[in-house]
Amino acid sequence: MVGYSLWLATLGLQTWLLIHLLRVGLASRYPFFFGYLAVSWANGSLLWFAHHNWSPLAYSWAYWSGEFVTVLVGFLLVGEVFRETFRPFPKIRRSVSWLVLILILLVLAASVFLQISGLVQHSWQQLFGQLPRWVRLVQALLLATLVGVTRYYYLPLGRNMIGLAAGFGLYTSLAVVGLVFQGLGLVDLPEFGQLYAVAYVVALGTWSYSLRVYAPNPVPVYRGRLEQDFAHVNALVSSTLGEIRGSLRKALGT
Amino acid sequence: MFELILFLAAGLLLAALFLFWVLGQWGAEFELPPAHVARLTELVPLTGVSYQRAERLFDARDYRFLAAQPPLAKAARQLEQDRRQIALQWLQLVREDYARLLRFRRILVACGAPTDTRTEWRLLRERLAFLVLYGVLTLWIRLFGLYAAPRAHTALLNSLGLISTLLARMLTRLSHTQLAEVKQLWAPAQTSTTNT
Repeated sequence: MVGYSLWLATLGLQTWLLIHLLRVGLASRYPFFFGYLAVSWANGSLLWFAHHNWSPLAYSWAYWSGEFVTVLVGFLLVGEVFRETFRPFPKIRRSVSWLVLILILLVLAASVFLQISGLVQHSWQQLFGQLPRWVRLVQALLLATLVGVTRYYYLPLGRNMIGLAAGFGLYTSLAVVGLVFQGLGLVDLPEFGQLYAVAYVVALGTWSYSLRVYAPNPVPVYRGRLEQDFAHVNALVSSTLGEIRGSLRKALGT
Repeated sequence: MFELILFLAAGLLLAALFLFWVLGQWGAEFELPPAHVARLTELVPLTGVSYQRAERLFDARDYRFLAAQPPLAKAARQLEQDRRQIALQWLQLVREDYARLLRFRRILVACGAPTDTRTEWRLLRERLAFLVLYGVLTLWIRLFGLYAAPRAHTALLNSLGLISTLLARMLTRLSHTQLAEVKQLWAPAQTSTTNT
């Protein structure tokens, strides 16, 4: 009964939020977030259908596959928060986007590698249970780093971004905790689903509250420090890369 | 099993961090006219915060200039060590400013200064932030040198600035009688602190 109520609450809030974002024009302002929410909603609806029409084994397969897909799509939301936070700094924004993209590709490559090598030892359920734990932790860490950077450089965030980052950060961190409980066997799949749903309802509530109207990030006052540090790091990376290139050339004798 | 426990700890820690952060935004948008804050600093002199050359102290340019020239490397090391000592002494003064502000708050509360949950929450948050930042920064400077965390001191000052603003706001809510009582109680408390 509780599980059903949570499920319905999640689907209801998601549907409302999707319509609301379209209605107030926030879907075009935050397209990645909208995409994430749409995929999440489609997954939830599919699971609802699967729960009522498919066998438990097929449902379990659909559950973990859907979980895997939505976890990966969560990077869209992380990307959105980074994109908006560094909007006033085009150069930094470009570099940070590349860094995040490389990190995502690395996580994906590691996931595929683990999947191929792990299939020998583990069942696909175990494997699909392990991978989201890593990916979610990476997402939460990325957002926590961003929070640290905004605090350190006094980058002001608008209500929309605070809501997106805090909601998703809380959700992913609690999801990691839920996945650990599930991995330890402290909760079974339905109970785990309820834990997950509670965390997701909290995130959806945060998003619904913070995205009522468009509230962009205020213009940062202290721009110099971040730009100065970025130029310093950039120069350091360039010189290190130059040194590596030189050493490689020497080693190859060209 | 060990891996799972690490995940659990990381998940809980991150959840606490996000919760702390989002709750910190609650009531974050408040501004006070500078005159109100000045009234507080008149009553509670902040010697560490008012030190004008803190920025210069943490500026690594002189050190880098000397360190870049091999014959002056020793002088660069000496400069860093001297400045490190001064920076640690300055941090001690900032810590005393923090203690002074808290003592003043105790008097404000004793005189019945009106407060609310939002202010108390912000104060608790900033006190925690200050203490953590102070501990980490002092340890960091002792372990890795003055220029390992070039601008972390601004975060510390910012935290203390927020505490001052919160107390200044409490001060503006006092009646004339309460304000006179605060001044009466604060003067001897301050003198005793200066003497000790």
